[in-house]
Amino acid sequence: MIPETLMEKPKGGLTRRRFLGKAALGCAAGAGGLAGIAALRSIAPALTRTKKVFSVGRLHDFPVNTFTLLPKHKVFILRDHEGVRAVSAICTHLGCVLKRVEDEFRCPCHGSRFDDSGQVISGPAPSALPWFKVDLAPDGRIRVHTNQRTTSQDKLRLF
Amino acid sequence: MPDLSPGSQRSRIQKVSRNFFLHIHAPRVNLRSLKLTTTFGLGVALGFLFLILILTGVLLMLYYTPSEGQAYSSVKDIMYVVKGGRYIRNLHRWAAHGMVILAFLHLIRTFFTGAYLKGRRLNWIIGVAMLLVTLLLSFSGYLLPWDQLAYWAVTIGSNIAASARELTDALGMTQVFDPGGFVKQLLIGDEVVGQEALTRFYMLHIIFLPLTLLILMGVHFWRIRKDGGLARPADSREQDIHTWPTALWGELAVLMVSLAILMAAAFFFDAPLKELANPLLPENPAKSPWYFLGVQELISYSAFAGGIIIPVLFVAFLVSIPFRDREESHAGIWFSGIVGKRVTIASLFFSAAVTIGILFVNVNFGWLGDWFAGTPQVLIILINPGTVLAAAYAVWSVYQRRRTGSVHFSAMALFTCALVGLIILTFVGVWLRGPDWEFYWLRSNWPVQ
Repeated sequence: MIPETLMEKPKGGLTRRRFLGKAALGCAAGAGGLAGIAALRSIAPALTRTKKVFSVGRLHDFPVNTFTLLPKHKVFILRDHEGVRAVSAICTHLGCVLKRVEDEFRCPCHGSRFDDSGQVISGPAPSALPWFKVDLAPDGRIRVHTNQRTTSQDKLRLF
Repeated sequence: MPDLSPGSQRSRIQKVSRNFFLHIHAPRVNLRSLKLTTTFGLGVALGFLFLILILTGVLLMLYYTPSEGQAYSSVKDIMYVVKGGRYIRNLHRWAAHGMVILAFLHLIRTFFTGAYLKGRRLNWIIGVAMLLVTLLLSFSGYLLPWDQLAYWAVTIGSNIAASARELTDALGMTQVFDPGGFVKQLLIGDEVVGQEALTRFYMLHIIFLPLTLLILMGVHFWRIRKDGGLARPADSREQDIHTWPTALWGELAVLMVSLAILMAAAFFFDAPLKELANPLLPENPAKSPWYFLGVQELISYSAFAGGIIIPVLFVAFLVSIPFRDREESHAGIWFSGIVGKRVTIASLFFSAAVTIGILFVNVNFGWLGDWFAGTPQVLIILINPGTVLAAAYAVWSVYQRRRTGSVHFSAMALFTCALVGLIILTFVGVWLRGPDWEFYWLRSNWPVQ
């Protein structure tokens, strides 16, 4: 039996029993919260299978004035008489792979259209296509960096 | 000496209360709850479909391999090699679609009979949660066959989860703060749908979501008992009867009917299996599962508004209904009588007219982005066919509130509008959208590729 005096609700003040009870609850909640954060951190992936820097081939693989889709890396390589550029082939709307139709990029999923400089012509795409930095790898092949953005005018000049 | 002969009062009560599986029922139920037109047996049918899904799912797990390289061929094995495998897969597929349909019908039934009133608030909210878990279950199962249909539906789905980016992009802060990208990474474990996504969806589909649904189901049924059975009007004259055997006969009938329909569907219609997933070649049109095509239509206007804002508002509306509507005299009456019927029918016509009207404008004349080149993205997020429709429904609901002076009827107006809108948009998404998400009256008009 618990003595009546301990059962009684104290008026106003914090008894030792209530303080310890609340402290224990607080500790449990804190530990649970931290464990939750740790679990959440483990869910967020630390690595990705997507390559950010990759070689795409040599200059002669890309004829002058063409857009070549590299499906594996989901980029278009643009070659003109001045040099080489790379633009994303992933629609900025919901991530479908774009097609080159006539003189624009089209998304088969929701019909977004982009012009040659990657600007949205029409459709639900919220932003322009990103352009990626292109340079020469030490072995002389053309290398694309999808983690470095650039403008549609910036080319790897080869002449 | 108490009378324990079969058929006596006490033996009937004990049949139920002494059996672990049967004591989910109260020993006595109100006769009204057993009438077909009170519930149409929808909740019970949902429970049975879930059981069938667990049984067939366990059988499918014996042969299915959740790996990028083998998933597709293991599903093909199930369809063409395993004895009865095709039938089991068909049952699983159609039971899953049946659950989505019945869950919506059950929502409609409970809403229009005012079953969230009279202290049934918690159970209504649990029900909304169960609807969402059901949709997620169906969606997570969609990826597992690893065919073109699965791959692109889930690619689109995962990018919908990332569509908060549309807003952060428009504000130019995605580089520093990218909640959309984070949610997407949690979901698919990588930047594109691949092995990580398959592993995660498999885990969600076979253990996490079914377990969640099972627990919610237990609480849902328990609350029905705690709430004193199904909602019924105060002046209801029907009496209570013994659960054993009358209510159980009713449930058996629901089981038999749903099984019969399901087995016939599985016999006559095969679950689709397209070509092996090809991450390089999107399907055109790439469509999500049919129950998300209404949302996908909204997404084709704006990913953030259609994929996040409007669905969140709709769920918030559903959850808020029992907090706002306290008009308890409507409990248990279909459409709350003649006024409610009129409000519902008027809302039905209003919503159909407005929805079709906006779609007509959008399909024939385009929208802001087509009219004014360089419209800022924030404006398109805020003002697009989807948000305009949502606003029109809200205005109609406020008008009904003014007209009838009742929160209950304004909620009915909004619910009807949203539902009719969802059905029309889903219809358009399923049947009238072709390659490049262009509008076509007939599938035969699609351009040859």
